[in-house]
Amino acid sequence: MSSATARLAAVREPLSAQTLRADFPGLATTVHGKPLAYLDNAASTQRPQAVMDALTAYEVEMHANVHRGVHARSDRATAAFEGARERARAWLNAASADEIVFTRGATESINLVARCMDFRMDADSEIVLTGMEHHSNIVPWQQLCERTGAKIRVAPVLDSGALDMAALAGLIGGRTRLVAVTHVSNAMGVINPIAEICELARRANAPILIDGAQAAGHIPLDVQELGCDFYALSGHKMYAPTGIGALYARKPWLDELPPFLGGGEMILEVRFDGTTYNAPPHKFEAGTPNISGAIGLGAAMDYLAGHGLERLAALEHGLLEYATERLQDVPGLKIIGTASPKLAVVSFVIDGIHPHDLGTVLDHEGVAIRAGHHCAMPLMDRFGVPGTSRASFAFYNTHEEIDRLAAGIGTARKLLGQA
Amino acid sequence: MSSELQNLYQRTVLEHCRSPRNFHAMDEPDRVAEGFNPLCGDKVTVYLRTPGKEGVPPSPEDGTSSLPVVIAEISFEAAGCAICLASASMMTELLDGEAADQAKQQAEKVLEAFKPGADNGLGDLGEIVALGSVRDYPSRIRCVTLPWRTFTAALDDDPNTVSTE
Repeated sequence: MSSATARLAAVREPLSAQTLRADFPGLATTVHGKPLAYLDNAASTQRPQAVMDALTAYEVEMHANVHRGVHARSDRATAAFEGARERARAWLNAASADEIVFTRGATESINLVARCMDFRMDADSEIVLTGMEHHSNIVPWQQLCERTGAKIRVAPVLDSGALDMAALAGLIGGRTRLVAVTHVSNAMGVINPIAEICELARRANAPILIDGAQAAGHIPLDVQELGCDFYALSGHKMYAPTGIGALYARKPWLDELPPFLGGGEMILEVRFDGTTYNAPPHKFEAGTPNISGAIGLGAAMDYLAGHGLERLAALEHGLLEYATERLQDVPGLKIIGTASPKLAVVSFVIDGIHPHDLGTVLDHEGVAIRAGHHCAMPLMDRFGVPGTSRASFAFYNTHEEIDRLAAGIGTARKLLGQA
Repeated sequence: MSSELQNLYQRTVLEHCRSPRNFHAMDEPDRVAEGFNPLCGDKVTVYLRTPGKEGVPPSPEDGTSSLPVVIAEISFEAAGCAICLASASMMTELLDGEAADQAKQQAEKVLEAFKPGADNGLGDLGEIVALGSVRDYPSRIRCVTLPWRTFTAALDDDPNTVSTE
C-alpha cells in the first residue's frame, strides 16, 4: 500500500472517541479519585498533544519577536505566525489572510469592532441583537450606545430556544447600523440560521457581526458563503490555548475602521506631528502579538481538519442524541433549548435542585459540568431561571460518560431532592 | 456517595435548606439590603426590624445612620443553592433578637472564618459549624458568605447591592 493509499484508508476508518481520547492527555486524569468525565466543553475544550507539541516546538526552535528581527529565529517565528494566519483564513474560507486579525479571543474581537464603530452611530442608529447573546456580545454594544446615543433592539427567543426569525426580520430596517448575532447559543447549543440572518442584514444594508465562539470548533465555516462582515472566534473553545482568538473582517471594513489600540506593529511611520498606520491586519494588532497562541490555534485547526470536522461533528451529534434521550427521562428535569439544529449542549433545570449543588455532587463523581447563568443573564430571565446546569460535549466524550452524568444526577436527587 | 459529599451536605444543612427559617419578606422593615452573586445569579434579600432608642428614629434620613440597638426581627428571601439557603436560614436563627453590636461581631467572625486559609473559628456559632466543610470548596465559599455580607450591609444601612465579586 502506498503511503497515500494508507492515509486514505486511515481517513475512511470510522472515528471513535476512544482513539481520539488518546490525543488528549488532560482527559486521562482523575478528580476526587474518579476518572475525569469532562462535560464542560462549551466553556473551554481540552488541548490535544499536537497543540502542546506545536507550542513546545515554537518555544524551543523559533521564539523571537515577529516582523522585526533581521535574524533567522525572527524569520522563522514570523513565518510560523503568518502561517497560522493563513491557516485561520482557510478555516473560515476568507478571501485573504489580510482579513484575519489575531485577538485575545472572541470577546476582544467583538470589542474591537464595537470600539471602532462610533463614527457610524448617532442617536437615530439602532443595533440589533438577540435575546440569546453571551454578555460579550451585549456589553460592548451597550458601551457603544452610551458613547453615541444609539439604541439596542433585541430579537426575542421562542420557547423552544430558537430565535424568533419573524421578529428579527421586523427589527432589521432603515435605522439598523449593525446586527450582532451569535452563531450558536452558548447556554443552549441552539444553532441560528446565520446565512438567512446575513441576508436580512444585507437587504437593509447593515453590517453584520457573528459571534462564532461556540461554533468555530464544531461547524465547518465559510464566511463568504454565510455573507457576514465580521466573524469572531476564540481559540480555547476549539482545542487551542487561551488568550488567542481571531476576528474575520471583510477587507473594506478593515480599511475603513480606525485603529483599535495604538503602539508598535500597527504603524508605518511615527512623528510627533503625526503618525501613519500600517495596513490591515497589522493596523489592528498593536504590540507584540500572542505568537505562540496563534501557532497553537493553527495547530488545533490542523488537528481538527486532519480528522475531518464533519466526521468529528457526527460523533458529537451522536452524543447529543444519547444525552437528550438519557436526561429527558429524569423526573423533574427540564431541558432549556430543544430547538433543532443544535450543537452537543444540554442545558437543564431540575425541580428542587440548584445547579450549583448539582455541579458539586457531579464533581464528586468526576463529572465536570457548568452551573450558572453561562454569561447569558437575559436568556436566563427569558426562561425564568436564575441559572441552569449545562453538559456540553466534544468528540472525545463517550456514552459511558453520559451514563455517569445520568447516574450522578440520580445521586443528587437522592441527596438533595425534596422527596 | 462519597463521605466528603455527605459531610458537605449534612443533615442539618439539608434540613435548613428544605425548611428555611424566617424565609419571607417583611412589611416596612427598618433596614434592608440585597446581595447578589454574579457568578451564579444567586440573590439574597435580608430584612431587619431594628427599633431605635426612645426618640431616636430607627433609620435616620439625614445619612447619619448608626448601628441600631437590637435585631428585633430578621427575615430573608433568596434564590440560591442549598448552601446559600442553609447559611441564610441558620444566620437568621442565630441573630434573631441579638444585640446589634453582638450580631455584627458574629457576622464578622463568620466572614473571617470563611476567608482563604482561615482555620476553624466557628466553634461557638451554633449550627453554622455544619457549613465548615464548604471551606474545602473554594468555588462555593461565596454561597455561605453572601447572606452574611448582605446582613452586614443591612445593618450598616448600605444602599448598594452587595456583590460577592
